Amino acid sequence: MPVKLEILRNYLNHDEKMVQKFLQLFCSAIPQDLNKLKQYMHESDFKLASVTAHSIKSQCAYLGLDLARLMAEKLENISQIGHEQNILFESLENILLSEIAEMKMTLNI
Amino acid sequence: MFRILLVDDDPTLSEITREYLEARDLSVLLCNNPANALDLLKRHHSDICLLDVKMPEIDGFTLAEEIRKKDKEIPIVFLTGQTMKEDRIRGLMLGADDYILKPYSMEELYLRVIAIMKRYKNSGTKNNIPNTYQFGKIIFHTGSREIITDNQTIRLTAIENKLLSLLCANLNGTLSRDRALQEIWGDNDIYKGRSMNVYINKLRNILKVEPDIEILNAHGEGYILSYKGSLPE
Repeated sequence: MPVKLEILRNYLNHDEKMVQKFLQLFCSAIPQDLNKLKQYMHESDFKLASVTAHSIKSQCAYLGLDLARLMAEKLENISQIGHEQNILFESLENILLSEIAEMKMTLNI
Repeated sequence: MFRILLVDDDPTLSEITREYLEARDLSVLLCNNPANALDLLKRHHSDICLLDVKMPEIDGFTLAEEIRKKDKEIPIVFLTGQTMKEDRIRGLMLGADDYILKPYSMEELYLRVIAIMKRYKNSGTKNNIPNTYQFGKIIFHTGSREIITDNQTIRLTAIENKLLSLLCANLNGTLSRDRALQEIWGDNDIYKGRSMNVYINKLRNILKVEPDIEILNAHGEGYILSYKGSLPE
């Protein structure tokens, strides 16, 4: 599920400087957001978990990361913690961290 | 140069939005913590507020209500990933000037901000031109050019929006055909008059879901937007 840079370029009016800046911010913010989401889920703080998942969802939308966006959207509506939610989080974390690793390598971020 | 108060807890999107708008010569006061927004607004003059809806501690709607208590005129635009119709209606009924869905194009956001500021500058104050009308189950929002009904949101063209705004401004009175032509097209050419009939028919079709409102012909004069229901306070 590679990032779709053309989608990002369209949102940013093909400003390459802004595209680079977005990718840098994304690569540094998402791991932090994932950690926060994990913590809020662990604490059963559904309100903050929802806000954090919402933020991840919005950022994924700019990069055309549709599967990750849908997973984050599911976690945004979280109201209980169980096996399903933990699996969902792990999948989201795996997808996003491997995307970030690939982005860092191929886009030289 | 306009100054924008941008309140969004998402550091990535808010930083990109700030940079983009500043590169277009707007001044942006960025606030990532909504709890500090009112204080910032008190200390620094702002011309317009861009508010994220889903934020921790204080959501954008509550923040807008607090801002409205202190400043009834400042334009407010919601930035949101929420697609629930109830949320959109709540935002518009709070007096929002626009409601922009995430992910948004930075250029579109910039252009919408400029359009709102131009409208304010031309009208003097916000209250000269209401931006939201509610007729029974129909909500018409001039800023976003949308009509929201029970089960759908209809986006109007610029001409349809202008025509319906003029009719609303003359609610239950006659909007003269010449005035409408002049305001929309800048002249009262006969061919444009025929086009106006097409736009009127399209608006009639959209409005027919609410039986209390209809566009009547005022023969030889123009049109009347007739509403038999009660208007919200």
